[in-house]
Amino acid sequence: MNLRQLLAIEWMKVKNYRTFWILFALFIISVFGLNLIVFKLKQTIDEASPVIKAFTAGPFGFPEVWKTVGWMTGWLLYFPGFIMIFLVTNEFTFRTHRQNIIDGWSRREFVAVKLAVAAILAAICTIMMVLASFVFGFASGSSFSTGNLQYIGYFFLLSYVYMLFAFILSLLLRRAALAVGIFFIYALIFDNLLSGFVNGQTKSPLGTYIAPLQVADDLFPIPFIDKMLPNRPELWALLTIVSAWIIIYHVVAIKKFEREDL
Amino acid sequence: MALVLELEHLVKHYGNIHALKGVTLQIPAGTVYGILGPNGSGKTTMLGLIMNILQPTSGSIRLFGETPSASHRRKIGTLLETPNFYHYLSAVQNLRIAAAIKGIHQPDIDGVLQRVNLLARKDSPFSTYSLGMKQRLAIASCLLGDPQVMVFDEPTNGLDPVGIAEIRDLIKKLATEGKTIIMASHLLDEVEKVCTHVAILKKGELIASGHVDEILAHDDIVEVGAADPGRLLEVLRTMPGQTGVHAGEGDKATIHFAPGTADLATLNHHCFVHGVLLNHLQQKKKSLESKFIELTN
Repeated sequence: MNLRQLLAIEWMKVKNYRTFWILFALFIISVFGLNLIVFKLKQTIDEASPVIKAFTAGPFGFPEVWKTVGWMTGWLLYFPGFIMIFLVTNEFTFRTHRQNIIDGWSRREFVAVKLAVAAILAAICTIMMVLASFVFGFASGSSFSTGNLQYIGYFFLLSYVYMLFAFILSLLLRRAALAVGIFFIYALIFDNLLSGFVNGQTKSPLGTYIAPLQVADDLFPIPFIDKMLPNRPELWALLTIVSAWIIIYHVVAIKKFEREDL
Repeated sequence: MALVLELEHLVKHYGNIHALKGVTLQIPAGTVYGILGPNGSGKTTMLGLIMNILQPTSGSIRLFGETPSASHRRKIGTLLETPNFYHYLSAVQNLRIAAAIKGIHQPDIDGVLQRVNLLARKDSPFSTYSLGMKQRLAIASCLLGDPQVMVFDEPTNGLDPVGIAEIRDLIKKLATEGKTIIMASHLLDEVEKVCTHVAILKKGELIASGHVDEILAHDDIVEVGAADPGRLLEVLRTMPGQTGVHAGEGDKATIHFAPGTADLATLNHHCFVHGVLLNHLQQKKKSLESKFIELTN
């Protein structure tokens, strides 16, 4: 079966799944909502201090807007992460992961289509980030410039790493509540804690490199205060490690599902 | 006859538990093959290995004479252990997914739902179904694409008596259409009523396999009584065709014949001409339960 046929079947599972649409709607609302709140905040500050506004278009002007919106939208990847978790743990809950194989998918096909779903979710997240960047870039009154477009690619990598992390957790834990809880707490607290602690202890960006999500997060510098932070990790190192994680997630997912009892 | 399934020394361990201890079995096309065994005897494990949802510890499996692959599974309608469907989808939506995975382009979904009496509820979500309806839907899913081979694991599980009779009739009908059916059951009575062949599993070992009439054959047993039990036993032993004579309780005795050959009138006459007047003459039915326990203990 080719990937298009596999995805058509996956779509049959998703299109009538209400939780998917609710989480998807929440994600879209949050992307525009969160960026709007920060955008308005910045406007208020700008009005209070016209000197700064005259000096720069600010973080929402092109080309800075890609970094700013990308960084903020990165905080909302929990929603598509939850979608990923539910789409995978549902198969275990309903035992349809067995039935799909019994009915005639190979184990490889089952994993491959889920990896494709992760990539599609990451692509949708990226489209949302691009749309929001255009909206707030133009709303800030700046005119379009072609700088920083590589951040669109970085955002795809960031989203894909989150989706794959959610996928691996779901494969390992099999239960939705457990996977959602661990995904949320790990991504929100422990991953940052781990990288911050190691960075602080070693006074180097080492922590960034070893924390699986932080390494992708750090593709986007923290807006507004980035210049004040020391130890900015090397871009080439971030991209290499992110790519390595993506490959590891693929290999682990395929090997695990192909070898174990279902 | 072509073989649908061949198992060679199939072994499956779950940690320390030896669920299947080297099963070798061949299932010819066109048979209704019962896999009979008590709970925990390895029936579902065996079918799970065949369907590639479990990994064998050792041994080999061949489907249609070839190494099993996903394309073989698409040609087999399989119900394994429990009905597995997306709870939030209706019967029709679930069957569309199953049909798409099997690569069936124009599935007759209404037709298969009709065959299991589920057409009236075809648009209700699976989560609203009773256990029996879920089981019927799983059987409907097996019928998609009219496969030549079907595997049913405990097909009458959760059904009421009417449902059980309907599904057994359906399986018999499928058999008359020339399908090969592999059916696991812990119900001897079910296997006896439906199957042409049977393999008996006990604690992961195959203890017997072959034609149902040979494996599940039970002797005709006749219980007789007379005033002089000693003389009765002597006379019974001279009865032509008997396969065993045993003293029973009190003045009674039992005499065994090959299946279907006991004739009470001839037996009565034999005793009479040898000077024994019977005061008791009754053909005994060996209970299926006792037969099952005898086979698996």
